[in-house]
Amino acid sequence: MSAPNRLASQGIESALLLEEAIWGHRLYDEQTPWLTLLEFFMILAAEEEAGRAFTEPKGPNTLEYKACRRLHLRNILFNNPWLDLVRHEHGTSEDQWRRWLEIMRKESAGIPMLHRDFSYLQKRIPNFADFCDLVQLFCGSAIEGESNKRWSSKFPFPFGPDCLFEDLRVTGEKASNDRRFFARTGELLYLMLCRSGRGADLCARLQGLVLNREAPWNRLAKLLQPPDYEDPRTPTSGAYLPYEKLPDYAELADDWVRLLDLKMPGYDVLPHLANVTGLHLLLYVLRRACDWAKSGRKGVTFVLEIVNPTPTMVRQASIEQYEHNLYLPREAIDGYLKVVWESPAVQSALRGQAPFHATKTALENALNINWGKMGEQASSEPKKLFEEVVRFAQKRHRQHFANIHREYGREIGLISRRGARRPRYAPSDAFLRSLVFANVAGHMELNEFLERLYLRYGFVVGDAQAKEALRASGADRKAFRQNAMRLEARLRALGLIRRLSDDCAYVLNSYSPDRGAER
Amino acid sequence: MDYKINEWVSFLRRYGPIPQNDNMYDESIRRLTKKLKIQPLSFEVPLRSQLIENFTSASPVSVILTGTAGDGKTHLCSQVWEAVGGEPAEWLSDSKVRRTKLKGGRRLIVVKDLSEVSIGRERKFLADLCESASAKDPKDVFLIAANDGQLIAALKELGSGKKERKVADAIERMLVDGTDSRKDLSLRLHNLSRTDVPELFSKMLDALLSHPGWKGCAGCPGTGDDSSVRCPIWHNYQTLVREQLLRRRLSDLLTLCELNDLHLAIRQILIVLTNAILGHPDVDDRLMSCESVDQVVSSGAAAKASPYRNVFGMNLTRRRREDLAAFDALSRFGIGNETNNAVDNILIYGSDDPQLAPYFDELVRPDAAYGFHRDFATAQKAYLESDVGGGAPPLLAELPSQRQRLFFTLPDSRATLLGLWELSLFRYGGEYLSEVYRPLLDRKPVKRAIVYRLVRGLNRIFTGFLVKDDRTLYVASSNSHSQSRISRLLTDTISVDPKKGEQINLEYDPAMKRVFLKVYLSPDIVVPPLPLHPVRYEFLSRVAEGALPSSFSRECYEDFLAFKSHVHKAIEVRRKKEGSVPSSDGTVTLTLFDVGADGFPRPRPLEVQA
Repeated sequence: MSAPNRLASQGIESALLLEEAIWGHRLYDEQTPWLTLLEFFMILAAEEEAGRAFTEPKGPNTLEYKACRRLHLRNILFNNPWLDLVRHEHGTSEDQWRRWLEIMRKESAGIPMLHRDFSYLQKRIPNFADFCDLVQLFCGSAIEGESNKRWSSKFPFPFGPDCLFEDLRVTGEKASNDRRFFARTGELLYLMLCRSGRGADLCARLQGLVLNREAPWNRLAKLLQPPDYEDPRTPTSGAYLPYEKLPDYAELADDWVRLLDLKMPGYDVLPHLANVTGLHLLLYVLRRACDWAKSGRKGVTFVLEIVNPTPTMVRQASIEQYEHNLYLPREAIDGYLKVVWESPAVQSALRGQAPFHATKTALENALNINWGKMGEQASSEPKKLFEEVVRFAQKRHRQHFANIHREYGREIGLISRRGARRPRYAPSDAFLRSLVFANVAGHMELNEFLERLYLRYGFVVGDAQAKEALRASGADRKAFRQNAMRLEARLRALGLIRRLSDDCAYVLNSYSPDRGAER
Repeated sequence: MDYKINEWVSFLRRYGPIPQNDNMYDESIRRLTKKLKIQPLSFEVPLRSQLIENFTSASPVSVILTGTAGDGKTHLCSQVWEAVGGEPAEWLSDSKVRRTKLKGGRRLIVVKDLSEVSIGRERKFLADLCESASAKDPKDVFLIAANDGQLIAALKELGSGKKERKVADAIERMLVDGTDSRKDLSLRLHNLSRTDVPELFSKMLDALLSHPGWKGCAGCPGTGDDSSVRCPIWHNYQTLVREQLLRRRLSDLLTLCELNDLHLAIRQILIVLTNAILGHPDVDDRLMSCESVDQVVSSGAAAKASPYRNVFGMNLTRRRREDLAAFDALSRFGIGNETNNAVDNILIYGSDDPQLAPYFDELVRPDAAYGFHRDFATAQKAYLESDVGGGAPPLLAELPSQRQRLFFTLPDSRATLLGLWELSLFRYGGEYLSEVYRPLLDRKPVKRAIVYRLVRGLNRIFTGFLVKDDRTLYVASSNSHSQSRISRLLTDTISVDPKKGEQINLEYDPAMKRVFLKVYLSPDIVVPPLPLHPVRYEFLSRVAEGALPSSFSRECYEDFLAFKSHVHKAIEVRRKKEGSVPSSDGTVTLTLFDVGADGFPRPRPLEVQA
């Protein structure tokens, strides 16, 4: 168990630095892959504007950017239940506008009274019904639009830089970032891509996509914002990604570049970017956990069950693998704490003068403990103190970090409970599509595809991979063979595969540049 | 009753769905031909003359034959060998690699089955083959037969010499794309899985029916006029000989299978034909023989030998049917289970009801063997007289065979009136063949009415609304996703009839041997053509007439949504080419659309001024 070298962290406000030390500051279960992407795009847009896209000019972990708030836009889209009411109560467009502007002056939030003037909208869209249609179109494609989250945590689709803003908590005229849904995972993603070595490639490809100010829907979003007022931007800093170089970063960037190179129409590539990002973040969590967890020696694998009406041994293996992976981060925490306890600093403190205070100081140094935030410490015995720290850490871990595996997995379509009583790795159609688009250039023989999924992501689908990863044999291998056949049938239903003959099938990516007609 | 034993019939059984056959096909046929001194079935495959011409010409090129098991690769190789004057003894020997001299001093190396050759030697071959294929005037030419899978695997293991890699990649590309030659290679790749089914089927059936072995039945009492002792095997044989309609409809079904990419190898088709003549559920191996005919006739079960149900393998167990590719493919038509009111009314009430009687008398009654046979007559009478004990009336069990029979015997003149193709799941199957596939093969255009109907189906899928307009293709999307199910934003429209470079057509690609839907945005901007096989044709037609897309076939629905994505991409290319300029004053215009009760989308611009 040897962890790669880590950079020093600075000024992270936390009761103790444990998950932060292993994974960075920070990953959080309520920030889904899509929200991570949104935070990332917001940062990228700000950094690109400042001419520093994908670089860390002041050194690692010095990211500083100014996040936009765009409260006018958000009020219009997500804090605006009066449109239908106004349309029904008033006849002419003039009247409707007048009434609605009145309401917004009173009811809009997060904006100082002085600036609650939405009349610029009427000049731009004289017809109120058109305005309603436009709002509905934005809401229809919103991220988390349908959820029951607070309105200030809903986001329009990222059509361009003018649609991007930070997550806020709004009360009355005040708005603040409570790091609830933009918990800095987007910052970590940004730093990972900075350190991947492919920043320039990514930037070039995103120019025409999310960074394009001239895109029609971005211009529309800009027109919904006041021409001569902008909310003060929030300066933000403090992101911390412990590892300067990891092969994971380049793998993530490679998948991004491959997806972007497919030149899918419009913004179609974004859901695939979200899935692939979620997958890589999940792998990052588990792989770093393996550095510290006892059972992490074998590396990270996922047994994928292609959903079958009746339970098979593959499902069982998948459930077991799920539970193993589920506890890996928790084991890592325990392992890390154990290493701290057994470190020379703590051990010599125990044996020296004033063991309790010495140990307390040693622990404080090793874990950056803020005793005040940890609540009452009752004991006066070093070992018991340590146990209190452990209990606190485990409790805190369970509250959020431990859920990341399940939440991310579910969001990207990797984890499902469909047809079974317990969750396991059962890929959805959307997830399978993302895998094909990110990995197949043109055409790839099916067995080669399965092997590639194993080598890159640790996915075990067919019997060759089962043999290697799980030492499967005999009847188990047959079950995996059938699993692979079911995958083929699913890919056929999705139009992603062509079988040439008895033992030869090709996975096809119809978006690949040199592949027009094959379906 | 003593029926004459004809050894030809026992030989013929070997081509049928006998379990022992599955692995040792060629072997057992060869042994029997020697033993019984019977000529095996042989018919000319169109490729044969092409190959012989190549190898006897002044500048032959190497040939690779691929395809699935049972496509006839080995057979073709032996025919070529014979035609170029190869030593017969050499062919019959055990050697896996056979060499002979061609006219003009070149050497021909024939490998009739790549899997027979061990790994080490395989490499040498393919390397030599690559060498020969890259040369303008090769000294050695090759004829190699291999399954696609074997070939690709072997190619991958080839060394990493640049020349070899280049040829190997080219061959792999040809396999995946389905092309048979490339300008830069002295090589042809023939995929025997892509055959011309009607022609091949016709030749096979003729070879089977005109085989001299049938003469051996002469003098048997079962071939006489006495219908009470008539041999069902002979009767089925005569039926196949006489009834052109049966042939034609069966050929249609096989063609539709092929066009749906459900390839049936020659061996599989022979199984169907043999089973058609010899099938019966009550005998050994479920195939009749001269020995078992007596039992069949005297037990009064001759009606179950109906060739119309044998074609679908109804004499076999369900398990066996699912295992055999041919019957599995034919069962997908659902013939026997699908029906319509007209047909079922005739079958059930026809002998009773005065209005239906003329149809019944024309279509069912005359066939005493398989139409209005004794068991059916009894069951029908019992049903009509409400003489049913507990449980399902026996008549219901008779209906599938009757429907299957009608599918093959309903005359063309009655086909539209009684809805022939409604007896199958592919209601538009017949139309696909007669109004789309065959005209295109003959280089005639498809009727515009059909193209319009397909466009109406496309419109409903592309917009998610019940659109009736069929002269314009509405390409719609949501603002964030081009493959959305309900799309309120109109990206663009495309004219179906030729207008300003736009048009939508059905075209046939002779290389891929398939029908494609082609959407032209301009003379040089075409959306990647969508293969329009019978399943998709059926889907679009049903959606056009009112079916809900995702409930009829999710797979097809996803296909068409993905196609919409490609149409969007092509529109983006066209816009870029046209250099569409955003308005200079910063106004943004969107096009929404509403679909009125008349089913015609009305575009509605939404403008936002800067």
